Amino acid sequence: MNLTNLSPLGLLLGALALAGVTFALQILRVRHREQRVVTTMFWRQALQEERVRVFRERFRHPLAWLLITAIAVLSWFAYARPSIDREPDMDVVVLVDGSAQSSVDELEQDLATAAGIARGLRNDERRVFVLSSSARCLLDSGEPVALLEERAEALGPASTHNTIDRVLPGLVGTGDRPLRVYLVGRQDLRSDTVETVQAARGGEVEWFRVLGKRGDEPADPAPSAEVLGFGVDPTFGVLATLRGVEASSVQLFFDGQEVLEDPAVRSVSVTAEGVESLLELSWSSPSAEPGELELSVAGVTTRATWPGQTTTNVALQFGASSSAIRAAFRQVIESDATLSIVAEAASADVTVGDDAQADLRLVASEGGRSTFHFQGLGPAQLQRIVTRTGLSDLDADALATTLGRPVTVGSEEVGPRQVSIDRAVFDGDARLLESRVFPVLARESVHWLANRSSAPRRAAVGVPIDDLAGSSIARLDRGASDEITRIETLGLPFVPSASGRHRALEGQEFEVSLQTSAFVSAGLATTAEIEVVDPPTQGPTLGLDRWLLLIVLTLGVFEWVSVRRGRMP
Amino acid sequence: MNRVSVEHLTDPAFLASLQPLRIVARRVVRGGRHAEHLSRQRGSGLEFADYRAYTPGDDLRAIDWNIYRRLGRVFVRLFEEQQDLPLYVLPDVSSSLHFEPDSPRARACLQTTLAIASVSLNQHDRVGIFPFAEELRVHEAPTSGKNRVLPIARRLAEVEFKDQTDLCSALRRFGAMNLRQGLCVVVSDFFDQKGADAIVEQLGQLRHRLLLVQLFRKEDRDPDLQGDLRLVDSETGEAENVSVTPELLQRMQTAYDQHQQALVDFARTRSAGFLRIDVDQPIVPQLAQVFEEGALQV
Repeated sequence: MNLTNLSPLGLLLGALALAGVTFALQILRVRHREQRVVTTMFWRQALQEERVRVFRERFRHPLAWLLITAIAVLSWFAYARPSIDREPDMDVVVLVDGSAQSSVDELEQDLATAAGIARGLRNDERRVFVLSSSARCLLDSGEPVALLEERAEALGPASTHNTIDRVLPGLVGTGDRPLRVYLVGRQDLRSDTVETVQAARGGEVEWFRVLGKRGDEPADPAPSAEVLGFGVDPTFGVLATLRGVEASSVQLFFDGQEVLEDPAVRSVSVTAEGVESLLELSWSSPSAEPGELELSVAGVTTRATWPGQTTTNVALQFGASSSAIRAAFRQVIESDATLSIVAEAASADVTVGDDAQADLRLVASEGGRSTFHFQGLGPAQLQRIVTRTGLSDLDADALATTLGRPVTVGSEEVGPRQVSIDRAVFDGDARLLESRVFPVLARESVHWLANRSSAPRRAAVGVPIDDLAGSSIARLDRGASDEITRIETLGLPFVPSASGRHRALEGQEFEVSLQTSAFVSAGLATTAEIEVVDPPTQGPTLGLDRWLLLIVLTLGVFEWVSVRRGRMP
Repeated sequence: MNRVSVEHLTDPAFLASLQPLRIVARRVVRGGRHAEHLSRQRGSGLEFADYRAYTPGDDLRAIDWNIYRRLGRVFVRLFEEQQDLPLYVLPDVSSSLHFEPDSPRARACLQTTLAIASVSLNQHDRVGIFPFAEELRVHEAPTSGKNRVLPIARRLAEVEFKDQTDLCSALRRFGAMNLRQGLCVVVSDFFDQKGADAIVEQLGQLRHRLLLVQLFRKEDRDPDLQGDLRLVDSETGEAENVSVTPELLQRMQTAYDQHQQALVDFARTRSAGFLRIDVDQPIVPQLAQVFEEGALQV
């Protein structure tokens, strides 16, 4: 017996409904039909005689009771959705393209096609997923198809690319049973993905493409001009990835000025099998000021916001005995395009040194003071700053052994932001300067002291950002600073689900692009040939629960007819 | 309106079918009018009754001179006095006779009343009609005359069927009228809430000869009822929730039979007539069966 698709609340409500129905039947049963007679005195005498004779009401209408009991029990049994335990013949996975490649109407048609496929299959052998940046299960095995229609009601295409090649191997997993995969829509599948899945499933995999109503539409003979991705990445400078586009038809504007002629803007055109042309547009040294970017391809304009690039001035104030440390900090700061070294502390945003007034200062060991101390930081943010500065990756045991005392990280909420580091960690055998943690610690500490985020980072849809685990992420509207969505990652790595500008709780902003290296390589890889088939026309199969409901219905009709004919009270 | 159409009562065929019927009284009490029934009173009738010795003042025309010639004594002949038999009809006009479609009980009640009244009127008897429900009313004071049939029919059509049956009170009131002894015909279903014993007790106190005409339908005893029912009394409006089972139905029939038996036993012991009329059947043929060879002996 399968009750897995019922929540406890649903089960309770069902039981109450059943109780209500039987109660209503009982009320109907004791409701007497009115009949006028010439006199009731003989009936009254008969009833008085009957009441005197018996101690309790006799068991009346055994046939009616049996019928009601059968109806109630069969209803309850059907509600429990019993199923005969037998292994399904095969696993069927139905994949619907929910990425930006599908329009709203197309997705709606594809979902209807998927529901039709699901109806023709046994409940325990099919699953339906909609694919965008990740795979979302619309119908798990054993669930009724009605759930799919309910879940798909508010579903629309996501502003992401399709990650079918990345998620499909994980979806189908491994197993001994044959596998059948329905690709609904025109989503492409790489040949190597097909090979990976077939290897995992022992080769017994059938691939079908179902176009549904799309099959009535003429297929695109060749990819038309299409902007696969358009985003801003100041670090790497990649602006857009275009397919089916000639470089001569591309125009790039920054605040209304065409910048495609800028030598810093370059385009790379590649050709691969299955893809006529793939154009990657880059801008290696964008403007420091914020502005609006417009990409025009064959008359179609796409816009994005360039947040600008600001520089933090850092002054290094170390004594002569700290030349090695000074050099290490200088190297770190110079490697960050958003940090700049100035000579005068007065013109610096952040000062680093062994001076007592420095924002990031090296201090002598004191009893009871933390090895790494952050002033102006609440205890709630301590864990986050430990992660951000790389201290979480520090080999604290080895360092404590070297120092001969525990390595601690502390914080103090009161006071301006200041970072104190026990100087001992740079001396002797501790060698923090040589640790891989130091560059992160130095750079992120400076950014934190400047109350700025790190340099805008590159992020891509569907690619997890581990160091934003447990953060609260705000998605910002394109071209505006209004927050439209806030995402709580609940301790898990943040996985961008849509392109656009985002901002973390710490103020760090980053642009999420549609493009990833995997995406580009997908365009370059060979696309698998999938056989196009018509949607399966097999009608829905009647499960045991449906048969039980039919029996209940028949019994109900029988009772109604019996009551109407006076054969049953 | 809870009335019966006058056409049901003045149908010529119905009235013509009543002509062969007559009521014959074995004896009527003295003091009535001259009519067709033999009286205990000796008088100027046609039927010879007896002789008695002449006394001064006797009608000389009554002297039997043949006796005088043979015996030398003067005797006068006595003849049976033929007087009328007053008829008092008590039709039941309670609502229990007028709750069904077409009201067959009410129609049968009034047709029976009119039929018996018509027979008596044709015999020059005086006929009084006293409909009753909760109370007894004088609808037609006892009068005679063959030409009164149609007026009585029209008056009967004006009778409204309503209220409960209180036959006991009606009989008590009728007995208190102290009318001349005659034939009292009660036309009713005899379904009085006080029961058959109370009815019989009141009937026994009447000085009149009695003819009980019970109106019935077959479903009164054998109702075609099944299931859980809310039976509503046609008179009182009181309801009884019953689940009809064969056992309960049998007990109801037993109660009905006991009620009937009480009436039959009374009629037998009192030498009263007892007539059951199925209201769903034509009235006159059923009456004719009771008027054996055209005459009802009372």
